[in-house]
Amino acid sequence: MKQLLFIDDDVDVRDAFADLLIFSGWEVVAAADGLEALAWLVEHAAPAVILLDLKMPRCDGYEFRSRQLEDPRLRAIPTVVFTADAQPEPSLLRGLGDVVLVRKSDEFSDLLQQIERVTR
Amino acid sequence: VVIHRIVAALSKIATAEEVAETAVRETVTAFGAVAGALFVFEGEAFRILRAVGYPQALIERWTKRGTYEIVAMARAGKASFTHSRLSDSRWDAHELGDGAACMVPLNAGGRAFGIMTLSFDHVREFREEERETLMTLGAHCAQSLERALLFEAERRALAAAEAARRELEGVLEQLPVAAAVVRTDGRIFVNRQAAKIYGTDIRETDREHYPDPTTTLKHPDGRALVADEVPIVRALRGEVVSGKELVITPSKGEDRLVRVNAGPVRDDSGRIGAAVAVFADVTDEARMAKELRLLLDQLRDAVRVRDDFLSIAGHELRTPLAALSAQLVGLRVMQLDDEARAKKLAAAERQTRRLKSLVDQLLDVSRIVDGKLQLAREEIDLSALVREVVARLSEDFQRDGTPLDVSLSGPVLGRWDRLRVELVVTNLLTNALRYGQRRPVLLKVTGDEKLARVIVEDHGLGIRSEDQERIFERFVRAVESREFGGLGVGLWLARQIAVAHEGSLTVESEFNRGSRFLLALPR
Repeated sequence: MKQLLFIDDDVDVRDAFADLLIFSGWEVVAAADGLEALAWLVEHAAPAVILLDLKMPRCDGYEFRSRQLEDPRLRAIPTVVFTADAQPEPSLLRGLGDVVLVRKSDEFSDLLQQIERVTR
Repeated sequence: VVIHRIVAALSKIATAEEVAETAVRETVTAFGAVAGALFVFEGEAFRILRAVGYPQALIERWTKRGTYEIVAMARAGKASFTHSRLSDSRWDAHELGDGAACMVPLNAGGRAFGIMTLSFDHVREFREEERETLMTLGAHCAQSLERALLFEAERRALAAAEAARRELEGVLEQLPVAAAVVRTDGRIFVNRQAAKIYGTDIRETDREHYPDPTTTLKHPDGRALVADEVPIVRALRGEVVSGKELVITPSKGEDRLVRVNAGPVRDDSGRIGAAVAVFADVTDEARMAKELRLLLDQLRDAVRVRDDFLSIAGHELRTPLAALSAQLVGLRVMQLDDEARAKKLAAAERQTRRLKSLVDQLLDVSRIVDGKLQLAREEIDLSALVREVVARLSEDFQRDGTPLDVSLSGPVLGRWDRLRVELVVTNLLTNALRYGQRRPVLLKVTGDEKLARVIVEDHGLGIRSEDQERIFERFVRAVESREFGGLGVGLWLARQIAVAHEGSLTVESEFNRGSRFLLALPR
């Protein structure tokens, strides 16, 4: 089973989407922020995909992403940015590098489609 | 003796008319003549300065005719004498009958100014010494006359200068701007407006008696002015100063900002005789421009804050909406047993409550901004209300791993707005959860006969002292909004609600040690 690392500080969002992702055939590992995720990544093999929220305490999506890109072992992991912002600031988005952007208000099927596309 | 008396009299005289008057009167008397006159040359013609004893018709004829052989001789510096006018055709004075006559030139510095003539009613000879005396008198008279004429020319020039000065000052006086004139002789004139700016009554004085401009003027940035930088001083040197902004410290009142133009005033020969400085008081203009800029900045800030708020509100609303939507998808597509279904329904309900709370807050924000917040007071037990809020939030605390210690001491009754007070307690607890760094949070409800109190204490991030009042402002938080959720209006709203109840919401906090919020509601 393919593994997905879901990084989001909102426990309700995490729970709700984790259920659906598991139902859709993914093994889901959840982290509440970038620091938790990086700690997990140090100790485990790279997941197939990372689902990344942007607005988080301690270490947000932007910071996680820049640290991910600095690490040759993590750089290549496909990453889907999953945000509740309608219009993330373009200047900040550029710092995210090569990612797919999915809004939390989009249909779940769209999210699933994008995840499957980047892991194909 | 005669000469000395007349010369002494002439030396005291200042005007040409007085010189003529004295010379004619004294000479006629001294020589026993019946008539005498003094003329000055004016180009080809002559002007009678003084005449005594001659009939008016004779004087008019002389003036009209203008040219006489003896006058031409006098112009050449020669005197004419006759013992009998009727026997000498060059003389024209038959109205007086026969008698002697003489005409002496008024010579000074090798130049003939005019003539003095005497007529007698008897025939007589002029002795040699009499002729010499008359010639000497003519020379003295000419000197006095020359001096007097010079004086007059000078006086006229002075009067013209004075008139020009008055005209300039009169114009300056009526200008709607402040103006000052400094002359090279040191005299100063300031107009009414300038005196007003300087706060003095001094209008006309000289430079020694005027305040030193290097003490009354400075640059807008506060630097002192050296003498060479003073606009009027530069103008006296020939420079033109334009649009220079300076600050005047008046003798009384506040500093004024003025915009100065200054330039030299030159005479016909190009020599600088004075300098004029004109300065407009732009203090109010500058202040207004500054206020406008400030207002514009505030407006821009307000617009930016509103845009930020809308973006944050959108984010905050979409988060529970996304969770709710995902739970509903799960309920629809997943095969769930009763227990799992109940769990999902409970989660969906929780998201609905989150949304409701957010919508309520947003509505209250706009109501408070519009001044339309109306409390729905009812009899409430604050302990019971707090217990309900705790029950609703305890799951969030458990999941986050933050211990919540609740201390209630029996019913605390009062008439309050249930939903609004719930909102305040919810906001305080949510903040404690958000910023408490998973350290224990203490919630306490107490009451005495006057006040009911809710205390929420965490041991987390704390708030820097400079931020402790700001956090109660709208859209403000002491931390980066990117990292922490929420609308950024929770504490502002909570305080507005407390104040609407005539109560208060205050904070004591130490950075990195935690915060203690105190809600006090009158019972």
